[in-house]
Amino acid sequence: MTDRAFLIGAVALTLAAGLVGIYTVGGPSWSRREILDQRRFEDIIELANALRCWNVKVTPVLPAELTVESLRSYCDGRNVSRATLTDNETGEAYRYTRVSDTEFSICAKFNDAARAERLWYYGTGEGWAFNASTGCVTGKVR
Amino acid sequence: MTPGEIDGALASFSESDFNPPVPRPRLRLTARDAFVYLSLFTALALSAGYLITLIFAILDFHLPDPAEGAGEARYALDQIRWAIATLLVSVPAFVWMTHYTDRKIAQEAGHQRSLVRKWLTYLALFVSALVFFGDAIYVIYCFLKGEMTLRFILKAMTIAFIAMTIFIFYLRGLEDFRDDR
Repeated sequence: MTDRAFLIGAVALTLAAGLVGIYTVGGPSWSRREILDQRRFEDIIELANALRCWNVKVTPVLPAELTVESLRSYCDGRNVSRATLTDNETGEAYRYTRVSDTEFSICAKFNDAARAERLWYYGTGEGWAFNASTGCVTGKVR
Repeated sequence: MTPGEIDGALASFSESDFNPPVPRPRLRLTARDAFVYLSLFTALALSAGYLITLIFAILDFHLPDPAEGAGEARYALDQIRWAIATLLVSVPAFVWMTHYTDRKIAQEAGHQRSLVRKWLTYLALFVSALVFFGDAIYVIYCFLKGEMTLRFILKAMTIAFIAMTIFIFYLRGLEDFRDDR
C-alpha cells in the first residue's frame, strides 16, 4: 500500500462518514430547529406538570384558559413564566384544550415532533403522555 | 574492553572494503523532528479515534437499541457533531504532515532516520495491534454472551478495519529503520 493510496483511502472514508454524519444531524439550520423543538417540548411538559394537582384534598377544576394568572389561582398556586406559555420562535401561545374538568391537552407546532419525541421524551410522565403524531401532551389533573 | 564491547564498537561501522571504515548511519534526534512527528502522530490518533467515534455514533442513531432512552439518541447526535468538527481539522493536518515528511525524506534520505519517527512508528504499531486484539477478545466475549447484534458486528468491523489499516501502513514504514543501530 503506497502512502498516496493510504491517504486517499483515509480521506475518502472520512468524507463518506462525514457526509452520512451531516445527513444524520441535519446541518446547522436543522440543528437550530431541533433546539427550538426541544424548547417547545420542555414548555408543554412543564405546563402539563403544572396542571397536575395531586397534593390538595379537593380535585381542582382546570382553568378555562392557560395564563400566568389562571395558573397562579389553580390548585395550590402554580408559577410559570409567560415565556413558557408561548412558542419561542413564533410567539404564539401553545394550544390548550380543556377536554373536561379534569382532562387537558396542550399542543405545540413542532418542526419534527417524532424526532423531538426520540431526543427528549423520557417516557410517560405521571398522568400525561406525549403523542408525536399530534404534537400534543394529554393528561389528567390526577 | 570486553569482547562484547569490542563487537559492539566494530558493529557500528559498515561492512565494506572501503578504507577508512565507514560508520553506519545513526538515528538523528532533533527538536524539529520531535515537533513534526509528534504533531503527525497526534493528528493520526485524533483522526483514527474520532473516525471510529463518528461511525459508532451514526450506527447508534440509525440502529437504535430497543431499550434505548432519549438520552442516547441525543448523545449520538452530539458525538457526530463533535467528531465531524475534529476530523475537519485533524485529517487535513495528518494528510499534509504525511505529505510534508514524505517530501523531506525524498529530498534527503537522512530524514528518514529520525529517532522520534522510529519510536512513534513502533508506538503506533503497538497501539493499533493492542486495539485489534482487544477488539477480537471483546467480539468473542459478546458472542459467548449472546449479544451479537448487527450494530455490534458493524462496530467491531470498523475498529478492526481502521486498526489493521494503520498497522499495515506503518509496518511498511519499518523498512526505513532496517540498518539503524
